[in-house]
Amino acid sequence: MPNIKWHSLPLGVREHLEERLRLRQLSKADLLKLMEWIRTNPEVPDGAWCKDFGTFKLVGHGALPSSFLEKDQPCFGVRI
Amino acid sequence: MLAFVQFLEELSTDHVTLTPAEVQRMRARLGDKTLQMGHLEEDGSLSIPVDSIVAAVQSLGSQRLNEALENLKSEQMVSMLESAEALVERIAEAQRRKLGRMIDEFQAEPDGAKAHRQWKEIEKTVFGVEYPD
Repeated sequence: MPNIKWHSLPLGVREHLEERLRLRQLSKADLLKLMEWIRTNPEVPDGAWCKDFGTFKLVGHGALPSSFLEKDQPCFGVRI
Repeated sequence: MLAFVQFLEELSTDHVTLTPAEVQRMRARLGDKTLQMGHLEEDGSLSIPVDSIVAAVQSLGSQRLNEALENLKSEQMVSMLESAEALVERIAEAQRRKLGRMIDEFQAEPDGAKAHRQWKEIEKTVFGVEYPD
């Protein structure tokens, strides 16, 4: 089971996250949850996976995080 | 005098880095809460912001800080484990409070360019990575 490579988080994804935080479309508490989760150095499946933080979801494939979804968008891949 | 200079040098840096061996030892004693103090690097070292350590030390009080230090130095002093755990938890808590303040300031900042600079700090704190713009 790989660990997530945060260095590979795409620029567009980070810009989208910045905009949504600025507009208060994702909560401070959920961003804190994301930081705490990252610090556990989580292992993820080799294939597609999804982690729900409440006001947003993070999806990825193996070690590579790919996107942050809106809270109403469906998860795809293995829920972790 | 050398110890004083070394102490000042440590304080002048942004982060203190625990070696992989130190991280393993602290995880064995205090559990995975150790990882909440900072970002785990690929080599297994842990980078901890100095300002969070200072905030935690100031909040702990000298007696509990001394107990925590004794516990971290010793393998046997189980009775003082609670103070070491408190120190680790307070370092993590200081970072959560700091991130919360950074988000509040970012969301309240009317200047877009300044807000973006604040975002870069938030990004670094959350992901542990300094991304190029």
